[in-house]
This record gives sequence, structure tokens and C-alpha cells, in this order.
Amino acid sequence: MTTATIRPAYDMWPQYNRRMCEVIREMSSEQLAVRPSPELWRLFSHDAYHCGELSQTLGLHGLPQIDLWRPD
Amino acid sequence: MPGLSKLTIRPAYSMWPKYNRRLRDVVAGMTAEQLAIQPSPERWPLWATVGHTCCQRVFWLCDFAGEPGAETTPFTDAGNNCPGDDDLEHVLSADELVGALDSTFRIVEGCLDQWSLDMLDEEIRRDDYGPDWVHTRGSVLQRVFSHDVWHCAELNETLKNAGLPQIDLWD
Repeated sequence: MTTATIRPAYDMWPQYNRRMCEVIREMSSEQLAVRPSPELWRLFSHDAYHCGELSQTLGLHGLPQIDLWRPD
Repeated sequence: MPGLSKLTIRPAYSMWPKYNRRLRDVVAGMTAEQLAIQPSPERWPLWATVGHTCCQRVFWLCDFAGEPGAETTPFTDAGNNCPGDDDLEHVLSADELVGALDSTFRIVEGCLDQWSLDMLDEEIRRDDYGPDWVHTRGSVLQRVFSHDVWHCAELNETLKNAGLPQIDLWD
């Protein structure tokens, strides 16, 4: 029996979450109102999905997108 | 019976094949005119976004992480010639995109069946790409997975605005 967990399968999730927070923190209430308030906090894929959805809208409005993959 | 760390990682990504099927099904039903829709004039048409998503699977899993199978896909030079990033001239049809989704997902399937939890912490270096090209195997896979999902959402925004069927990942 081992005590290993599945964290290595998802260990980038905190970074993705930080990136999403960084972008949202910089947005004004007007910018956040471009789309209904994002529902961001459920599953890994759900998070990534909404990052993509947000980024599409951000890009269309000339705002910085959420770059989940940029090197630190 | 192997310990948890020796098991393959497929259970951690059990929904990925379904997500790929859902994307594939939507793409398969699209016309050339629909695939040419752009969210805005400066953004890629839908065919390029789908092609780019497939091509990046090959770049990260094969070119970077060393998985076999790049030659079984349309993206034999994924580092230099990906739809969208490098090529907006050679328009891909729905059939070609479905073929690309299928062939590139076979590479993903290979990773899900052959990579173990233990392997996810392994660092992969590509000094020939540059000194910063160091990533764990786990981060590569998470990158590819989140990239797939990210672009599905991006596609859905455009599909919704065009009144077309969306990719339903959650049903």
C-alpha cells in the first residue's frame, strides 16, 4: 500500500488559479460586467473552460487574456 | 497489485476521451463556411483554432516529451508549422480536422495508458530549445488537457454567437 496522492496529476491547478485571479483582480467592474459573473471554482476542466471563455471575451475587447501556460 | 503510484494516470483524466469526442462531433457537423467563421476580424477562424489545438498536442507530447506517433498525425513539424500560429493559408476541412483530432488523441491515449503517477514528477529538458525548456511530465499533460478545454470554451463562444451547436463537455 502506498500513501501517494493524485496531486501530481493536477499540480498545475494552483498556478492556473493564480493566473485567473491576477487577471480578474485587474479588471474593473465594467469589464467584469462584459459577461455574466464567471462561475470559476468547480473542477479543473471547468476552471480551464471558463479561462478560455473569459479569454475569448477579453481578447475581443482588447484586454489582456489569461495565459495559463506562460513561464513563471 | 501495483501501488497507486504505479497505476496509470487514466483514472485522473477519465473524462478527456469524452471531451475529445464532443469536440470531434461538433467539428464533424460543420460546413466549410461555418469553420471559416472568425470571432473578430483579427482572430483565427474556427478551423485554425481546432487545428492549433490538435497540433499543440503533438508539439508538447511528441516533440517536447518524446512520445511516439507524430508521424501518424498531420503535424510532423509541430514546432514550426501549426495551424493558426504559423499557417492560416492551408484551410482545413471538417474531415481533415476530425482526422487530426482522432490521430492526435491516440497520442493522448498512449500517455494515459502508459504514464504512471510516479512519472509525472519527472523533469523533461530540451536544452536544444533553450535553457527555460524544463517541465515535469505532469505539467506537460496538464497543459495539454487544459489547452484542449480552454479552446473548447473559446470555440463555444463563437459557436454560440453564430447560433451553432456548442461543444457540451458537461452533459
